[in-house]
Amino acid sequence: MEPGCAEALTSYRRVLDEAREFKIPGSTEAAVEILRSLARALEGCRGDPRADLRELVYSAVDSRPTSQSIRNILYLFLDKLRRELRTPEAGGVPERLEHLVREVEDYVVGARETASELASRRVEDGDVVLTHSYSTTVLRLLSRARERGLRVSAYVTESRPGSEGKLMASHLWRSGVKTKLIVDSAVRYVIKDVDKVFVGAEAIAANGAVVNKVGTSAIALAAKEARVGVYVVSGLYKFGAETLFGDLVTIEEASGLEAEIPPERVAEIAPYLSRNLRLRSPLYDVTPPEYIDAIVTERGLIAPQATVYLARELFGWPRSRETLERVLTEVAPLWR
Amino acid sequence: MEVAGFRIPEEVVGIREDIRSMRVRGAGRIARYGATALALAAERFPGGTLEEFVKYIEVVADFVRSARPTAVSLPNAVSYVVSRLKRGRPQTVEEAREMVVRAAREFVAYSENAVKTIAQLGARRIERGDTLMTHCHSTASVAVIVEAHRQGKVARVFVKETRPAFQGLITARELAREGVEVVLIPDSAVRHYMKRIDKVVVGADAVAANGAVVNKIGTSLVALAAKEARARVYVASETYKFSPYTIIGELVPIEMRDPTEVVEREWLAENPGVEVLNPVFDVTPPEYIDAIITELGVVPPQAAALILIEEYGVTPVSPELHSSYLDPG
Repeated sequence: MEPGCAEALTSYRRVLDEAREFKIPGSTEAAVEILRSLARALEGCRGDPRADLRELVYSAVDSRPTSQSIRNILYLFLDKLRRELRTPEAGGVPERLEHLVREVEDYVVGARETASELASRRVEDGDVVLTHSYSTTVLRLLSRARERGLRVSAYVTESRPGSEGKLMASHLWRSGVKTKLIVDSAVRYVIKDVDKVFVGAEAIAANGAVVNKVGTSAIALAAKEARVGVYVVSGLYKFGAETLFGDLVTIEEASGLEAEIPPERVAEIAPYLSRNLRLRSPLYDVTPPEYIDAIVTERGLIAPQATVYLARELFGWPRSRETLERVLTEVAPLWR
Repeated sequence: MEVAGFRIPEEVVGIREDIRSMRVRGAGRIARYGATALALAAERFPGGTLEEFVKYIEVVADFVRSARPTAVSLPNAVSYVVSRLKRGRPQTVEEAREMVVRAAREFVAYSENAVKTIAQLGARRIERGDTLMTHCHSTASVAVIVEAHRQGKVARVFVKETRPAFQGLITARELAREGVEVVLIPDSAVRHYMKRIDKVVVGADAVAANGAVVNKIGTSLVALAAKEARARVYVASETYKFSPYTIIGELVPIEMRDPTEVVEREWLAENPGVEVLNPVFDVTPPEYIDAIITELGVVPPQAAALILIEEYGVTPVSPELHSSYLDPG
């Protein structure tokens, strides 16, 4: 039985809220959850005016505007759908979308596994690595290194705001990595002991700059100063295709920062909060390509500036502007 | 109490105990207490030759210094007084006593005015419309920023929250109370916001002889990000925080503090495999510091040795140690 349209839409909105509030750790996981839920909504709402494809897709993109995974994974899905709708023998709109979702998921999971496998080859016995924030890809690569019998220890930054470094530290030691948790400020203090820095990505820009959790760029800077290699491990589905046309990756602002400070300490500054004192933070920052030794993708370990070369296979070249918008323009009328 | 054949006056023993037990805290207060102890000792000298007096003051000096072996301001205050006695070449006990009392008073007045002077000098370095950044809490750097704000120069101050103990909130409150526009940011956002910063003003816990600054963990990352963005870095510090030990090659010890400052006890219990490393200070190399704003002037960090030698009578290498190298037999 198909779930009712209203029910499917409610569930879709709930997934978007979870993504927005970072209840799903890892941007790839969030993107895959959104895709599954979107497909269920589309199946349940065929021909229903309440489900506007364009609106559904853009509200997902807007839930985490910095995340290229969401934008690109939805694009890959719609592109497959478009091809299917165009096939003469297709006989119209498919009843089920599961197979398309699975194709995209298979690619994404495969890309991440391959990237983490390639990155794990960079790990040497006895290495001390440093990582920031929560990254499933980094977790996978260090686990793989452990499975191969390498001794690895890791520094993990707390990664405020959000402090998801604590979750990362917890998962790392459980997978056999000797783990030390530090505050974000202690990065330069420990970097001399570190052999390699591994981080994930939220987006990769056309020039090879990497958008990742705020604090990443200061780590890369400290690593550069100490001549420690910096590796970004990321599937090509995080490539920000719009940046080819000069668009900047949107950097989201953090909200609810007061909640991250003990209440008795917030009380100290409370009288000034609505006046001349504000709490601010971006969620992400931009690490310039010259601070990155390599980006490890499913297609290999490359210079950050070369990402655009590999990404063309995924998104086509020469590219037309606004791929997501264009594919929506074509698919939306056919879908009805 | 008797030390090395000299009776130490009760008041001096009391002062030492107050410092040792940390009833008296803060670099400035400890220093003033230490100097005062020497003045009291001089006034209570039971009588004897000039040579005995000098020896007595040296014994008291060592006794007071030993209250907090790793403090920086205390030995400096003591040396400030003792070096003025030695340099003064007194002819009588009365003259010597006079010198010690005067030097101690001078030091106390001096240290009380130091922060005010630093504020004045530091504010001159701030230009109209400047956006500043600061880290942790330091009386001297807050004084500089507040003075510059009163002169109408400060557009905005980015204050880092300064994990784990959130001392940035104290700074944020003190600045906001004075009407400064304050933006409180997490430490991780330092490089993101550095593009907008004209000048960084931080304090110091200690300044090493080579000009390296020991301050709250994270300071060196702020300085590095500032260097990259070509923002200027100023350290506001009284000269009695310059470390006399480093001139003889000692490293400034970096204390590790309790993990529960970083994570809750329950989290530690659930994650016994995770070690929480909680260093209190880091070291900022002199090449990342544009100047140290002291009460004696705005000096390059590399001039730290000059201040230690001239103001606190610290000898780079004692003649005995030097000769032991020359004549190892």
